[in-house]
Amino acid sequence: MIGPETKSKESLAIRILSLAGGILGTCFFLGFMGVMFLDHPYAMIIMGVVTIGGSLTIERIAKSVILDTIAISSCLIGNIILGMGLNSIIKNDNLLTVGLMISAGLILNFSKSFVLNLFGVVSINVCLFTFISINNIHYIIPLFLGYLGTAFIYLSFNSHLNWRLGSLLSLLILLTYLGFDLKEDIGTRYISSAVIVGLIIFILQKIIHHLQIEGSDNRVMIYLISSVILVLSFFSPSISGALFILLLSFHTSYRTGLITGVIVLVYFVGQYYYNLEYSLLIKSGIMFGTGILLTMYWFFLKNKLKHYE
Amino acid sequence: MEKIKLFADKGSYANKSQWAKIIDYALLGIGVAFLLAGTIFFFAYNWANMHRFTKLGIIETLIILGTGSVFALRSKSTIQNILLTTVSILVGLLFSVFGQIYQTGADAYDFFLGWSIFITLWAIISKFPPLWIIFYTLVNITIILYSQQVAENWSVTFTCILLFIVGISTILVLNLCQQFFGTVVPDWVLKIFALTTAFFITVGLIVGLNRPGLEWFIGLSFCLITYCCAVFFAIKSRLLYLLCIVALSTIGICSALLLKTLSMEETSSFLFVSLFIIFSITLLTSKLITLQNDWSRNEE
Repeated sequence: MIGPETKSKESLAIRILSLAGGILGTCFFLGFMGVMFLDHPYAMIIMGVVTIGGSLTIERIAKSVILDTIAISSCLIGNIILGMGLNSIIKNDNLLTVGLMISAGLILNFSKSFVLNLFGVVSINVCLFTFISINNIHYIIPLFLGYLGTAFIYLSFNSHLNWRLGSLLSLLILLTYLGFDLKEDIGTRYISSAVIVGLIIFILQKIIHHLQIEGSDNRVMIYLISSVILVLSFFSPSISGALFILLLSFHTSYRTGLITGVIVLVYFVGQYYYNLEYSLLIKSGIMFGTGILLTMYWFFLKNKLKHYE
Repeated sequence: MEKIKLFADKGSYANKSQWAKIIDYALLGIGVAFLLAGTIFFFAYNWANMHRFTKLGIIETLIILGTGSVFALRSKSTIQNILLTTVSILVGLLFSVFGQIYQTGADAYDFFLGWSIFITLWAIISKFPPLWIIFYTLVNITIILYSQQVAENWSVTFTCILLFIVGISTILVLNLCQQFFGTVVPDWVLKIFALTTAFFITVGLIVGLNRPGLEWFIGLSFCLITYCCAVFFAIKSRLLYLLCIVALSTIGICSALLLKTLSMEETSSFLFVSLFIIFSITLLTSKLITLQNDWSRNEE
C-alpha cells in the first residue's frame, strides 16, 4: 500500500506553521474534551470515530487549504479522544493497540494530507513497537529495525516524501530506545548493529554503483574505511543507525534527514561516552585515538578528494 | 532483478564532487571535535593531581598554537575558521580552570561574561556562522544567569525583553554587514536567530500575563513595532519563514491573552481558544500560500 503525494505544494515553513497550529489547537480542545467527557468513555469513542470520519471526508472533498488545517486538527483530536475512550473500556493492551493501528491505517488509506500521513506512519510503527514492549519480545527488535531501515531505504529511492519523514521519525524513536544502557539486552543490541551494518553495506553498494567508482583499489579503500568506522560504532547501534541515516540522506539529497542525522549522531555519541563504565582517562584516550584516526584519514585522503571537488 | 526494481534510482543524487566535499569537511570536523573532547576529558581526569601552573600552561599553549596556526594557514579559510572556533571553546575551558583553581568566588555569569568578551573579536573577524551561534548563545546565557544570580529583582518578562533586544540587534547587525560589507550570512543563521528571538519575546509576554506591569506593556509595544517592521521587510524581501515565525508567535501571545481575559468557566475558555487557534491558523495559511504563489508567478 503506497501513499499518494501530498496535494498541496506549500513550503516547509507553512507546513510547520500548520502543524504547530494544529498541535496547539489540539491541546486546548483536548483540555475541553477531557473535562467534558472524562467520565463517559463510550461518548468519547463515538465522538472520536465521528470526528475522524468527518475530518477525512472534509479533507478528501475540500479543495482549499483552509479546510485542510481544520481537517488535520480534527483528525488528531479524534484519534486522541478515541484512544482515551478505548483505554477506559478495553482492558487488554494488545487489543487497544490493534484498535489504534486500525485507526492509523484508515487515515493512511484515505488521507492525502502531509501531516496526517506523517501521523499515520509514526502511529503504526509506534503501535508495532508497543506490541514488542507489552509482550516482552525484545528479541525481535532487530527484525523491526530491519523493517524500518528497509522501509526508509525504499521510500528514499522512490521519493515518497510524506511517508519517508514518518519512517525517519519512527527509526529515530527506535534508535533512541536502543541508545539506552540496557544491560539485559546486549545480544539484541549487537544483532541490531549487525542489521544496520548490512543496511549500510547495501547503501554503499548503491552509492559506488551510482558514482561509477572504478578500480578495485578505490572500492577496497571505501569498504575498508567504512568497516573501521562501523567496527568502532558496533557496540552502539544508535550510532551506526545515525550514520546510516546520514549516508542515505546525503546520497538522496534529503536535507531534513541530513540535519536530523547530524543532530542525533552528536547526541548518540555523547550518550555512548556518558554511559561507558571506564575512567575519564580511558574515555579521553578513546576519544583522542578516534580523533587522531579521523584526522589521519583526512590527511591521507585530502589530495585525492581535492581532485574530485 | 526484483531487488533492483524495488530500489531503482528515481531522483536526484549526490555526485562525486559533493561526496568529496562532505567527506573532506566531515573527517576534519569530526576528528577535531574528538581531539577537543579527548582533551577536555583528559583534564577532567587529571584534575586533582596536576599543578595549577601545568593546567593553565597546557591550555594557554594550545590557545597560542591554535591562533598561530590560523595566521600560518593563509589560504585555507574553512580550516582557519574551524581552528578559531576550537580555540574559542578552549578560552572557556581556560576560564573555568582558572576559576576553579583560585576559587575566585565569581558567579557563573562572570565566567560566561568573560568568555563572551574574550571571543568577541574572533567572532567578528572570522565571519564563520557556527562561531557566531556560539557567541550569541554565550551572550544569552550570560544575561539569563545575571538575572538569576545578581539582578534578582528582574522579572522573567524583563529578561526576555532584554534577550529579544539582543536578538533583534544581532539580526540587524548581520543584515547591515551583508549589505555594506558584503559579509556572506547564510539563511539558516538568520532563521535560527529569528526563531530564538521570537521565542524569547513570546515566552516573556505569556509569562508576564500573570502580573502585567509597565515592563509588560513596554515589551508588548517593542514586539508590535518589531513584528510590523518584520512583516514589511519579509514581504519586501519575500521571506516566507519570517512571516510564519511572526504569525506563530502572535497567535501564541493572543491565545494566552484570550485565556487570561475570558471570564467564562475553564471548559468554555479552552474551547474558545482552541477554535481561535484553528481559525487563525487556517486563515493565515491560506494567505501565505496565496502570497507564495504570487511570488512564484512573478519570478516566472
